Amino acid sequence: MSQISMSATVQPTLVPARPAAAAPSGVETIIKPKQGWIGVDWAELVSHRELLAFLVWRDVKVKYKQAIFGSAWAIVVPLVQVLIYSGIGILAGFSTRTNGDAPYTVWMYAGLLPWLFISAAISSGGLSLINNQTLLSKIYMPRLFIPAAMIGSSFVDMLMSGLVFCGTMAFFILKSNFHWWPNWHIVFVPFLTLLLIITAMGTAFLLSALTVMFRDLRFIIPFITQLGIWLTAVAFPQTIFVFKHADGTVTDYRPWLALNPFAGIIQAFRWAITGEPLQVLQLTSSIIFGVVLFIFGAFYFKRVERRFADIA
Amino acid sequence: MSQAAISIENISKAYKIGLETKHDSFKSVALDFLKNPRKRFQSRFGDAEEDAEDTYWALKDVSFEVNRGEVVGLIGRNGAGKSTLLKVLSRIVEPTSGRAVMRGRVSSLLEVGTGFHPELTGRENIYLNGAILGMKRDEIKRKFDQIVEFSEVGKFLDTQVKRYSSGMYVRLAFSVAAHLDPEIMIVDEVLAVGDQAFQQKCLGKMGDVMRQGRTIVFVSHSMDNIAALCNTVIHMKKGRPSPKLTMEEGVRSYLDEASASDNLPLDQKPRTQAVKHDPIFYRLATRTEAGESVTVPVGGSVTFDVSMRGFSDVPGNLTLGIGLSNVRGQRVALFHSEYHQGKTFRGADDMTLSCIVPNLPLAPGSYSIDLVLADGFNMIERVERAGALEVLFTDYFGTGKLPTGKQSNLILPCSFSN
Repeated sequence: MSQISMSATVQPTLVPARPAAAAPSGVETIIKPKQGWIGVDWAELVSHRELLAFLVWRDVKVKYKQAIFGSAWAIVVPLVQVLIYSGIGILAGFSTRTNGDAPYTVWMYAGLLPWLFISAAISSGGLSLINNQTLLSKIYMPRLFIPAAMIGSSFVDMLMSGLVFCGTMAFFILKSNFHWWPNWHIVFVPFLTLLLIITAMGTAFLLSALTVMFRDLRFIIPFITQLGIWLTAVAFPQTIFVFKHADGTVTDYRPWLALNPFAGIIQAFRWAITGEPLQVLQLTSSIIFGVVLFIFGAFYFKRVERRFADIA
Repeated sequence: MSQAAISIENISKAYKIGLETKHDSFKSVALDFLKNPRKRFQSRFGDAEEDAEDTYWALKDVSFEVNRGEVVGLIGRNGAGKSTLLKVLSRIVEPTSGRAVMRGRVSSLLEVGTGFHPELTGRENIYLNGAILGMKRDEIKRKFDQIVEFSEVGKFLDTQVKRYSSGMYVRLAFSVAAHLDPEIMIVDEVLAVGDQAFQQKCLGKMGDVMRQGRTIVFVSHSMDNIAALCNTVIHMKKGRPSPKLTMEEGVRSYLDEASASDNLPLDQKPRTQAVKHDPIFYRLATRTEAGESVTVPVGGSVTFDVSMRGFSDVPGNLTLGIGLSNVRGQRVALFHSEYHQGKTFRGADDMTLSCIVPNLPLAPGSYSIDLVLADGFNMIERVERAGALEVLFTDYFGTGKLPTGKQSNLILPCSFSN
């Protein structure tokens, strides 16, 4: 069926063949077209891992180089957002609608932190390839590293901001005279972080490849992140989707949020920190979606990668 | 088993015309999809199709072998496929068909300073660029002092490279690349950068690499550099390679081909464009006191009338450069609207610029005229060999004799005394 389209596939296979007697280093590279969906060359990614580290380091360094407060911004920006959204939430009465006894500021922080990471993955990850065109057209390197490096540097930001979050929680523990503690579910945070990274990587792979193919996305991506903060229920509790009718019946629209794979992760982070009830359906959807997105994103990226240098 | 360092077998590379410049947009995809749903869907989301009509073969059945330790110069006109071949061998673009085997560690240097970040310091960029070129951290550390010494920018190592002069930038970038330790090196025309002294140093470094028995594939427009480095030349014409030629044969073949297109009208001559566009330069006339003429006596006055059209959509403050090159392909003079008179202009539907040269002190011989339209440093259109000018012998000094073009490019006055 798709035989026709595959006839003109242009993709080199890079097979590290058996050691050739001729080459002193024994390295042999075969360049030829290959057809169809191409697997990701994990061995190559591993052998170039230093490059990934350098690219992450570059992004982090460049981001804060010219700012007078330098990397302090990585901490200040989320903190200010937490204060703004907490303030709005308290004024608007959202703060009384969370489940559990966690301070609203902590609750807000727990969701905003992973959200800021996701939104960075969507915006800078999505634009990473078209912002690094010379790396596509002038040199060969594992190109998956370009979006991956953006995720890496956003993760460094998240870690720094995470330290401040720990400080914030410590503050509230002291303030409550040791009555309030983070929920024991906090032990699941590493697992959720892994899920978050996988989802963010998949998103960045897919969006960055699509942005090379369709430049329109450059203009659409900012809207995705702006809309996302509302559609993902970051800045307000999910309980506002639960409607109590006059006759006492309750309609719960929260399961619909399972359609948004990011909502489940954000909610799960809040579950882990504050102990509010876990939305199992949402989290299940997030896990399935995250894994599928990662695999599909990487494969789609490899599939269109062969055309990057021609288009970029 | 073949002992060749590089074996290339029937490599072809097709481009869909317009693919490089026309980015996909949802609108075009939607329109295409409506016109021919199934086929278009596959071509957008899957693989480019082979379609004889709008396919351009940048490389067609290229086969040759490069032996270990051989230095091959690739020459040819713009669009002959030299750079595409280098990109295929560097794995940047994929061949449409065919196969190549590279036996040994490959480094390619298609641009100086790929991945350099202006905000980072020289020291940081050495590490970053080294890693991008494929060096390990330890390797960069080990060679760091050598790199810095070679680049001559030691004092500014901790300065952001955006504050570097363009010469320093290029020196640092080349130094990193020069310290790669590959068995096979693929080099595009990167030596044509920096000042003369540094170019000599780079050539020297390339020579060292050569003597260590490395295999090099090298693209250049400069016959001087080709002559200095290569032992074999391959002349690419329209995507096909010549057999391996000696230095002499290669240069002759190149010059022969270059003059073959001289008979085409200017608007049909091959040209290089940054962005695909209809031909802009369409007429070039040379005038002397005797009227329209392609000959001028040594030291005579000449006027170039350059006509351009259909470029009102080209933004920026445009400049026109008129270059003269001698038969060896060496540029001997440049007349530039901005350098000479600070003049820039805007795109127009049709305009003719005249450049009056009151005195052309070139040695007798044939010169080709190159035209370049640019916006600052960004080339918009370049036509090499857009026209020709023959400088004729005249008794300039009243001695009945003149230096020949081989002895001197310029005919300048002087006086001897004792």
